[in-house]
Amino acid sequence: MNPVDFASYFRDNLELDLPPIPSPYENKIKLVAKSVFGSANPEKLLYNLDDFLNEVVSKPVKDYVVMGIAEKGEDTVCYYAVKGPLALFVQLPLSQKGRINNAFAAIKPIFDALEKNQGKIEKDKRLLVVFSHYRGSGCQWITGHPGEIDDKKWDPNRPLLQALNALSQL
Amino acid sequence: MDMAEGKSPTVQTREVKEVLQTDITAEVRNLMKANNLKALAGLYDADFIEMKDDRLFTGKTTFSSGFNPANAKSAEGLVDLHIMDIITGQCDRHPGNYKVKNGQLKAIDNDCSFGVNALPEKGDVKKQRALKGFIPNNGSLMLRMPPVINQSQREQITNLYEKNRQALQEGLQVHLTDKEIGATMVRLEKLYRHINSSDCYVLQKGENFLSENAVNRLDPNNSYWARELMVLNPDQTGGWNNLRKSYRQSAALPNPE
Repeated sequence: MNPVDFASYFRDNLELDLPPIPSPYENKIKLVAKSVFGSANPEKLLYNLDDFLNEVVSKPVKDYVVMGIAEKGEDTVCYYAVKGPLALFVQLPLSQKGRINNAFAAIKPIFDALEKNQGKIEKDKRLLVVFSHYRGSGCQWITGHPGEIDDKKWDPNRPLLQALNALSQL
Repeated sequence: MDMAEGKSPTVQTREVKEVLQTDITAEVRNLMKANNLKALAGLYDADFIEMKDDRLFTGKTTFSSGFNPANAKSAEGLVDLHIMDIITGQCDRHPGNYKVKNGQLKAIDNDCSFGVNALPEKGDVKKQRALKGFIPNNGSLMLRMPPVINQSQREQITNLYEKNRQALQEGLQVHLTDKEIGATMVRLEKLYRHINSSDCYVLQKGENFLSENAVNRLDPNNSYWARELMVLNPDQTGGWNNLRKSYRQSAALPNPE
């Protein structure tokens, strides 16, 4: 499936805005599994966000972006991206189309801030951003592998804003 | 699951807040200048955004599962669900996992049931974490034992424990491991002991789940009904993340293991 089909799937089938595609994948998004588009097949079910989180927290992970629909209970839109020191996971119900489109729009300035300030981020640090309707949300810098999250500083509110601030105020 | 009668209303609350000037960062101000309302709404997880001069307002609309808190039959249905979730160890019962439509309560997404760790003696189940401490707010949503039941529910639990335990075990053997069945039996026994203790009030003739004797015993940690009310409160519009957070911060709960 070519990029046009990817755009068509989100715009026509799902009636959503196009998700932001980080470089260098702008024209390289393909169908990688049923209802899943991305830079590579994640070999995991999108619905199982824990699997993606466990992976990125516990070991170094190559960059990727995957997005699509997880069909379980209610249809869920997933958008997962690892780009350098940023690991971003969004998981929202398809029924909340406005919220999804807003999240897509908010991810773009986060990528911009990353691109602008990536050089200032310490080598072993990475920013974990989780925005999930089902599994909880938060944003925090983690260091090393496996990384550890400070429970007391984990704030579940407005994780995308936290991410933008974290990447802008380095 | 067909439990509740009565038409469920659309329940909605709306809250508008101004973002403090000191909290508006340069990046947010750039988005304001560009009139990028979608991005701003996404960043603030807001349902709507308003800008007046250099002031920024965010708004949130909160919907419930459709549950009508004034419907005693619906309240009873949620206690039925609570009892089933205790027995099965279902630790993911957020309002997205049940719906009240046209008077019927339907529970979905039960795949977090029958966990061997969903045992009350291992500490509060809300403190357990799917990611071994990586993600703090993945706490279980399993409630404590129901503080109020009706006579029918008491009889059903008693029958299941006293007369049909063996049959339940045999039925589960097709689907579950011995450990999972063992954990289920522990939960059933604890539930049985609970309903026969002074911690559990059995509704008397003429009472229902909205009677004073019932409501006074309920809180968001022991009742889906009370939990719904908490989410409907405009001060709690952070939704389920805040609900999980409030569980974790509750002084009544034991410390994490």
